[in-house]
Amino acid sequence: MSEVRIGVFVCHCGSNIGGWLDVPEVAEYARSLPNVVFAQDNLYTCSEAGLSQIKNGIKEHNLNRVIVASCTPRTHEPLFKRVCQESGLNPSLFEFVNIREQCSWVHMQQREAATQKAKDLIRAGAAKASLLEPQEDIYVDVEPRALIIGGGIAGLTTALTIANVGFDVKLVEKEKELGGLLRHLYKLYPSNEEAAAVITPRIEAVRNHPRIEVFNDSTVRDVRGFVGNYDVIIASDGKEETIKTGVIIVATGAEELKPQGLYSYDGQKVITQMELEQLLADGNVSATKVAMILCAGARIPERTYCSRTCCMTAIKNAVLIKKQSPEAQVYILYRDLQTYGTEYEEYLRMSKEMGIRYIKYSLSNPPTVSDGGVKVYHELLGRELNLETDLVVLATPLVPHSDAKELAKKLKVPLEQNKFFLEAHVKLRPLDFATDGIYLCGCASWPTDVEQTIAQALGAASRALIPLTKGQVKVEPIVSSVDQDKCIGCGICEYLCPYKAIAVFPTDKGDRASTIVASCKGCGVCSSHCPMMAITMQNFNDDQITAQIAALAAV
Amino acid sequence: MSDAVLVIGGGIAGIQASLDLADMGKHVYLVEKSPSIGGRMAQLDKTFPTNDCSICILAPKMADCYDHSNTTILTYSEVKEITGSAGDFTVTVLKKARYVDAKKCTGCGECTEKCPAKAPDLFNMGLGTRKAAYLYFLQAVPRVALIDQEYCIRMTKGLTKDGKPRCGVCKDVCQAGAIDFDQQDEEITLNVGAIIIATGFDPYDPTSLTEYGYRRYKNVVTAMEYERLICASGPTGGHLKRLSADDRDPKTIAFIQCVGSRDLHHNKYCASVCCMHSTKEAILANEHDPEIHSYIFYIDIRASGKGFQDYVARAKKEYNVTYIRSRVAEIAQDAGENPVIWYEDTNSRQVKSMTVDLVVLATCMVPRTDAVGLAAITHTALDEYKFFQTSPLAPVDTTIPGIFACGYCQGPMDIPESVAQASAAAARAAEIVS
Amino acid sequence: MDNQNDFEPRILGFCCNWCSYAGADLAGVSRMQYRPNVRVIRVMCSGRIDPAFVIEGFLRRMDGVMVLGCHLGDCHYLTGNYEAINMINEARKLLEYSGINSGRLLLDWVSASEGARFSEVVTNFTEEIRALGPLGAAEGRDFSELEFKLRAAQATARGEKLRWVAAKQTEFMTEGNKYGEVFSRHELNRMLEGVIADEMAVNEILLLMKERPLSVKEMAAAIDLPPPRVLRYVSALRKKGLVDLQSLDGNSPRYAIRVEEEVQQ
Repeated sequence: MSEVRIGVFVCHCGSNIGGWLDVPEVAEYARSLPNVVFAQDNLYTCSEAGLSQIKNGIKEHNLNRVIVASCTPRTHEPLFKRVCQESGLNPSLFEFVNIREQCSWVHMQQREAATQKAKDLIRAGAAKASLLEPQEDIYVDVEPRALIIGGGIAGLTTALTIANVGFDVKLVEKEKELGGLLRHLYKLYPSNEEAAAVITPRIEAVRNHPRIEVFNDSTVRDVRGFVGNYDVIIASDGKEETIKTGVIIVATGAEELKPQGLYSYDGQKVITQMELEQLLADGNVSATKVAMILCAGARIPERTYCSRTCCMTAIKNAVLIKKQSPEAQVYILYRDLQTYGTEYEEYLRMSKEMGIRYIKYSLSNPPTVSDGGVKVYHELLGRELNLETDLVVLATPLVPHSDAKELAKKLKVPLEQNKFFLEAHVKLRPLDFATDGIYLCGCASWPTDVEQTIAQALGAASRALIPLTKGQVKVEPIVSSVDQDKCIGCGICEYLCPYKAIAVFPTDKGDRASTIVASCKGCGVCSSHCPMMAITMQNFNDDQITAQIAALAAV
Repeated sequence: MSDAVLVIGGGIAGIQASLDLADMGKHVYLVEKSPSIGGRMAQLDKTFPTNDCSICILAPKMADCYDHSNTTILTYSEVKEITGSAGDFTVTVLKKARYVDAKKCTGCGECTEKCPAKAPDLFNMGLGTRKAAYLYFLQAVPRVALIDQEYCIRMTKGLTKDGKPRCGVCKDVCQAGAIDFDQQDEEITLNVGAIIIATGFDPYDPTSLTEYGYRRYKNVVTAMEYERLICASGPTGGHLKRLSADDRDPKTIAFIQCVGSRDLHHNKYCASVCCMHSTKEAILANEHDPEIHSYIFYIDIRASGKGFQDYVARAKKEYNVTYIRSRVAEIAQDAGENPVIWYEDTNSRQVKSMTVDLVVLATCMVPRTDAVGLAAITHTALDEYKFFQTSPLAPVDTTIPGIFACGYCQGPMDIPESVAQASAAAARAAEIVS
Repeated sequence: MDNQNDFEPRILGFCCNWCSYAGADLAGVSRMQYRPNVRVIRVMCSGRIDPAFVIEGFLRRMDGVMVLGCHLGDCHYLTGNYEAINMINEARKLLEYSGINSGRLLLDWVSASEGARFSEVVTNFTEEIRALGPLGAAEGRDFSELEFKLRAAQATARGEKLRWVAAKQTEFMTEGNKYGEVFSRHELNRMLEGVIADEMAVNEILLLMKERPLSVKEMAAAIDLPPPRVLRYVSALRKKGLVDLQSLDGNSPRYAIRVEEEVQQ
């Protein structure tokens, strides 16, 4: 191999790193490391200026390895790898050293120790970089099909969008009928449009679309494969069918919390908003003294989140009751009103003008429901009120379906603490999972209203259309490889591989294992378990890790 | 017919819409009015509820967007005219003269350093100054300098008696020979199949809410100003201090919510993100200096997004943040230039006052002033607040087929919602240009 | 006690890319402060950690080694962290055989959303290692003594015999061996311990002979094993052609490593 020439770029990240450790000293130190021929500190390595400094460094110093010591590889590695590639350096020859998230930000008052740690980490990075090998990207064809799990407003919208662009869609719904939550609603805020009028035409359009096939009464039994090439096994009517699909969209929605044991809930005199919707739809609301209790089962210690949609649902239903019987008394007992945006705030104002009364209560002093009345301490008046009622409506939060966890397991995607699906990045990747080729939208991710759900569904369609329209995706070259001379064909790796991405095949040397590159996810279990130490995990091989250990330990 | 797409506005929404479409193989023209893409998100210090450093997570997207083989980024440019209809729009773009040759400029900053003329730094909300020859901000993309003709000595002062220009330092020091005083505005004609509007918001100017004393009292700032004040790349290098001459580090900060929003006399609507950004700003203050105590004066705490309630709970528990349900009547100032807040505590129904070191106004966010002009150019309708009109069931469709709107320009929303909508607009555009 | 307080432990950490490394990042984003003693190496999965890496850490005089994976059931690769349990269990036994306090090795779980937990785990482990003192202190032994044992442990960890048993653990516990016998964790531990005892002894003998030719008695004394057992290992090594009779010193034969083997090693 030709001479290793490493360039090290140490980032100040404004003051995020530079404010807490001595960046110039770290860069100076990096210069002294074996194989390092160039080192430099940058104010922001990720800025255009920083990137062109890398490019210039590669050119002027003939670098064949690049190390950036800055933030986390989990966000910035693709950017720097691309810059390497643009400068003619194989991106596999790039190594990232994390001195922000795992150094400057966590040792803020320990300047010396943080500086030393940064040096140590860069030394280990250089040791690994010296042993990096160029690798070629692997391209995998994408099956031109999308599979959508969930046939509510989110799933229907995504399905129509993807099908309209020209790809086949398989829509899997566990219920007999499409439509999801909207089937159980009467009218939608803020337009007061009938939910049926919104959902029915979409169901029709999906049913009649030549590119969409609906599997109702069906569940996902198992998911195998990887971006572009998923095999999803669908169970319907006791039969199983395997669908080959390039992408998967999770649009499974959520459900209303049934408030068992809360506020004397009985489904008759004390009901939920969803139950009220049904009564309203049937024209069966005879009550004239109604109290609605918001945050029933939400924003409490065991369920801390705000369900986002319940305030508006309650206000809308209160308005509908008032419209049906203007003489009715409607009280809304709230903690904080979530009438965000332009229209909801206006809707709230209109409801107040209609005579709906708002009473603020606090978590420490919640209302109590008894037969024929609600007692509530009005925080703003500073006294207790006895409301005579003939109907109490509880606004309960949307909660994840109980089978979300099982589906998450099959898809190998995470849930957050409340068991909603967890996206790849809460700020900038709200519709992607960390796993390539799987996307999410709607209430499966978090309680959302219809408008936001439709926006997310369209957005998820866009994300899914990227691999579909490209027809190809790139697989990271972090895969294992087997030394056929060392392998004895024992099959331990085949047994242990969770993706069946390595298998024993007969060869002229006898049985030998080899990796199925497109399926390999790069975990490296095969490598750490091979009795013959015949398996190399590229980018994380034994020599590289051992060199990192040695470098970290060197004083 | 054209299968290219025009995106107007290079903030996070415009960037995301451009990236999605470019990744799908469509050609995207991204037109941005200011000299760099990045938008409002580039001006923020951190983002809620994870306290991710805003520019850190945005910068890779800016670079991706600029470097993408399917994008053409036109900064310092404005859309002047649009004709045609869905599938076949003809767009005229005015590319303003930067007086710097973008192909030659390396962004080295030499011209900025030597330029003798100062101008208010708009990226830093007018806090502090920059030079007339400048980079819009540190991480600007593209990294190309420009000369502000309103402040440039050569362009404003005319010739000397002997007919010589009064300045030219930038041209003298630029080793790349990129300075070009003769550069002219340029008109570019584009043919696109669909258009995405993503022009974002302006912070509402609270000067007319005289009761808050903004501009009268130095230690009353807006939230956007505060973002720049605590940002490491801001005018104080991230050192949070008062703007009064005493230069003191604040120990108590009041955040006033709903300034000019939920207010019949100003903007009736809820700007939707202020509860959370104030919570974030209060947390950041305490991170800068654990002795800082923050008070958030609010009507309702709107924290309904993912992880928001827990964020607010953490602010109270770990970061010395107190939430006061109240109506602020007036902000006065004591002899030490400390703001004094007179308010009705709506929980105890008492009028109280509190003296603090710094007041941060969570001002409403309103459509960009040029939304009206752009609506006229695109023939799209605006709602009563001048947000681009969409409908709940078609949340990114404007009133004109083939023209979509996403992000804050069509209604109040936070970053993830803008990103989701941007992707949504990309999908709708893709349906047309596929 | 002053020494204890001045002692800053050197700790090697392994984090998986998807959970614990992300958790460490979140700790940073949340500015959760913790002791700067741990140096983390990122791997894709905790199941990637070969016991040989752990031994390597101690051979390089790290005072503690910490392996953090996803919570059980959350592994990005489904079962990698279960394999990590097996591998770290093996590493722990190797450490015990080498006379190293196995409290110096930690396996724990941190999710991507547990920044606080990451900082807590690091802080607690750092303090535990601080209490144990520098490598050798809690063990009451000199590092050179430990080093000899660790080198044997390293050879054992890389040896086919132990790797075979270790890698088969999952299969043996779920589906059984080729005769269909399913093993309990307890039975497997005994099996593992048996192999480790034998292999450690063999590797120690080989290490000793690398220095100079030795008699069985000398070797037995050096590694504190009964001479008949040492003789058994030496005979086995001779049969495999790894060891030769080198000379006779009076009545006691001296053995040495076969030369071409040495070249290979």
